[in-house]
This record gives sequence, structure tokens and C-alpha cells, in this order.
Amino acid sequence: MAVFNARKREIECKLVYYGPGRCGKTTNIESIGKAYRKHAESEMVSINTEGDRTLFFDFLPMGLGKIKGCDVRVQLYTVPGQVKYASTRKLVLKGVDGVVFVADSMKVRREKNMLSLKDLQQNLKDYGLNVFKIPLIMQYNKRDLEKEGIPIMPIKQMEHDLNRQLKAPSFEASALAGDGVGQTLKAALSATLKYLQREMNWAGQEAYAEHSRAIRRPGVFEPCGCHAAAWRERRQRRPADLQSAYRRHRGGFLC
Amino acid sequence: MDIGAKIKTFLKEAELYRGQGLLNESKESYQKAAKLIKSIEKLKNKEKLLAGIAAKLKGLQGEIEKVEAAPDNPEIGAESQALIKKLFSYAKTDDADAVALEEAITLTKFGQYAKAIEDFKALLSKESVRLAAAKNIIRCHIAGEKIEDGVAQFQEWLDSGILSKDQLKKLGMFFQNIIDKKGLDVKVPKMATAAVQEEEAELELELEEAEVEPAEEEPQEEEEILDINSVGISFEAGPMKGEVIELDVSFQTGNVISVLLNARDKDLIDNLNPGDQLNDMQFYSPIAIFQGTGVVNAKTGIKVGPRKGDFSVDIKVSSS
Repeated sequence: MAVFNARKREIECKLVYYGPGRCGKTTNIESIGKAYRKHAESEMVSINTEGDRTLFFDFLPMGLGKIKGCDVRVQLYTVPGQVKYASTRKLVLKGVDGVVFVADSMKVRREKNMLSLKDLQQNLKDYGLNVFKIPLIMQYNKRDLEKEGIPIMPIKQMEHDLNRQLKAPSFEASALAGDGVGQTLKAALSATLKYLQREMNWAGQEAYAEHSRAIRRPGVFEPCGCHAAAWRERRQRRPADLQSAYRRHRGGFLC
Repeated sequence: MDIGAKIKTFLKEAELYRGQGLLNESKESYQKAAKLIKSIEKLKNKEKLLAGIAAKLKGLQGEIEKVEAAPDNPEIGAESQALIKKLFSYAKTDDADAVALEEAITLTKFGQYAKAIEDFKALLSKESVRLAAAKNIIRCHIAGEKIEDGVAQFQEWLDSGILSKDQLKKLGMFFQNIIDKKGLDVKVPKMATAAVQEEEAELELELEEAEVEPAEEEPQEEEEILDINSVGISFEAGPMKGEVIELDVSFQTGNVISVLLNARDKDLIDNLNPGDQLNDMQFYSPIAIFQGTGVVNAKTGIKVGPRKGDFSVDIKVSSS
């Protein structure tokens, strides 16, 4: 669950990369860590891996700077994909705000993709979340393997298998080369922040804070309905300036 | 494709899958290649090729066994444990002892029993969380399959007087109850076993024991399944023999559909169990109604949310 600190004007949300074992979740996060180094608040942390198999999770905290006046921070996680780590997978998913489902494009992994998506749906449900409502982005990874002669599934088939009901935004990717990783992340962040904005009204709260500051500084801009009396009083004094400020205010804020 | 090209393709795939860490898939491709090679009577270097594949398979088997033998929850470093506590503890209080208890419980959830026991022991001196900490120490010993250590710990508490009589009584019942449930022939020292059932609910801890479903390794079917809105199931046996019930589909991935069963429909819940073959099913999709069969893949009780108490049943569909 995202944490919104109204006083510090900070919002922190959690994005989880989910998918079957060996689909490239860790590679996605590694690629993000390299490509968006200046946004990363620390190096990616991999909690115990066996060879290159994740046993617990990977973690990468990022700062996205100010959005609508709030400092936005995001924590990226991967879950362990192997079936036997079901309990850890569920623990890592707790409090999730947005999900990137990384599907493996290889034909031999078709069934594993479906089982993993089903597992995601069940785990979300156990936390009282709905896979149809939570911000979810599909990534069809390992598209580059076709060049190496590995049989991969057509996008149409993957959409049909995994996304025909969910209708989530989907992206092709080759995480090892970094292709499609940024697009997926941006879409996931955008969907998650929009969702949080609706759920927590944090942009609205921020607008209200700006608005309240403005009323204490007459002439900067003026409020609308909720401070109408004060506005009307001031309008009597400096009508032209204030009307123009009011129009700007109405154009930019949500109060 | 001629047989030689097929063999080459299988061998190439096997190497590529191995490179991707898909050990079982690689093994399958090698086995397919070996089968084809064996089927050719007059093949040059046949024995050499088969020996080469056998060596590859042996190596693969070793890797597979290593992955399968990897511990479910290996103990990790102190820094990582601290990070887990920081990231996954959700204490809704400012009380430092309650927060520390929550953090230690978080460690147990991630299987870090040794460190968790250390942290719980540090909390035994705090009256407000003493009993909870003691219970969690017992749970850690049980989860780590070290019942004898748990018994020894309990004996130590009996001797030390760190816990009150009432706390020891509750703890003893809690411990014995878990041992009995596990069907073990172990007696907790100096404990009363009366009223165990009454205490059970109160003493239940927050530790979650997720059920791990075995991986499906059935050969995949490439058939296309339409979107299914609802299904009709005709029962051929059991108390509902001859009845047809209709259920709405709550979720579908590929050829696996999920249906929700109301907790009140006890007969229906009892009649649908993992592995059950459903030979007479009707599937209703927006564009067609079709007959088919299915196999119950999983049945899961819903633990939270508005459907708490109901069941979700996954059925793998085969159209006909």
C-alpha cells in the first residue's frame, strides 16, 4: 500500500515484477538500475540468489522527483518465480500498488506463464485486491530469442492466452538488451500513479495545500468555491488582476 | 524436415534452453534427440552421439537436482535480514517492543528462524510482548523442525521463572497442541493438556503457512479455448450424481478457468476436488456453446475479502 505523507509531501509506492521462473524479472530490474542510474536511490539489492535464480527478492528504490508538487518514490521488487517459493512470492506482493507481469515468449513456457498469472490473481485476491483493477502492465519478454532459433510465441497468441480478459497495456521486450524495459516501467509508473491519484487523491491534496498557501498571499492567485467569500471580498479591491489569477487557478488545480 | 535436421534442431534447442536456465526443457530436447538417433539403424557415429547426449543429460540432471535441493528459506546475512525487517514489517504502532516483535515475526515469515529466535529472546524481558515472543520462539523451533530444541527451551523457561505460571500454562498448552496436531509422540514437560481446544483460537499466531501447489508437468495442449462466461457441470458420481449445475467463470487464463463456490454449497464443494475428471461439461462463451471435459486443478478456500469462506476452483478445460 502506498504511503502518502501529506506533511512532507512525499508519496512512496510499490511496483512488483511478477512472472514465471527464468522469465527475466531480475534482468528487467538490473537493466532499470543501469539505465536510470540517476533516479536509483541505491544499487539494486538481490536478497540471496542461488546461481542466477532469485530465492527471495530483488529490490531497487527509485526517486522520480516531484510530480504535482509531491516527491514521488517508488520501490521496485521482483518475486521468486519458482513454484516452490510460493510463500515468499506472496509475502513480497503484500502492499503492492502496481504489477508488471513479465511473460516468457518461449513456446515451451506457455503453460508456466498461464500458471504464474493465475498465481498472481490468487495472491492478489488473498490480499483483497482484484487483478482487473490493480494497475497491471504485461511485458512479453525475450523477443530477441527468435533470432537465435528458439521457438517463440506470436504476440497475438500471448495476448490471447494472458491478456484477452485483462486488456492490460502490453509491451514487447528483450530485457537482456534493455529493449522495452523503459517503456514497460514508464507505463507501469504512469498507471500506478494515476491509480493512486484516484484512490488517495494526493494530487488533490497537494492542490489544496497550494491553494491554501495562495489565499495567504493575495494577488498570486485566487481560490474557487471553497474560499469564495474571501475571493469575492478581494475581487472588490483588485478585480482585473484577481479575475485573471482566478482563471489561471481554475485551469490548473482541482479544488 | 528430414530426420537429421530434426536431430540438429533438438540439440540446438537443448543448448539454448540450457543457456536460459530452463533445465527440464533442455533435458526434454536432449531426450527427443536421443530417441530419434536410436531410431536410425545405420547412423555413423551413433554410439558416440548417444554417449555425448548421455553425458549432457548427466550434467543436466546434476544441475536439476542442485536446484531442487536448494533450501526453501536459507539463512541470509544480517544486512539482508535487516532489510527484510525494514521492508516487510507493517506494525501499526509506535511502541518499540511491539515493533520489534512484528519485525521478528517478519523474519520468521521469511524462514530466518535462527535470527528470529535471537530477536524474540531479547523481547522476553519485555512484559508487554513476553508471551507472544515465547510462543513465537516455539513456533520457530517447530517450523525449523527442531521440536527437541523447543522442548528444551520450554524446560529452561520452567526452571528459570522468567514466565509466570499462567503464561507457562498457556504456552505449554499451545506447544502440546501443535505437537499433537502434527501427530508426534512428544510430551511437553509439566503441562496440563486440558482445555486445549478452547485456547487454540486465541493462541493461533500470525505466521502464514502458504500451501505450495506442485508444478503441473503435463504436456501442453495447443488448442484454442474461447472466452468462457459460464460452465455447466453434469455429475456422474457422488451425492450429486445426475445433477447439472451452472457456475459463472470468475477468471480465465488460457484453458484454465476459475469458478467460485459459495460456502453454503457444501455438497458441491465436497464433490469438486483436485484431480477429479469432469467428463460432461458445457461451456458458454459469447459466440458459442460447446461440450467438453475438464480436470479440477485446484481448490482454494478464500480467506479474506467479501467472499471469505467461499471456495475458488480451477478447472483445466478440454473442448471436444
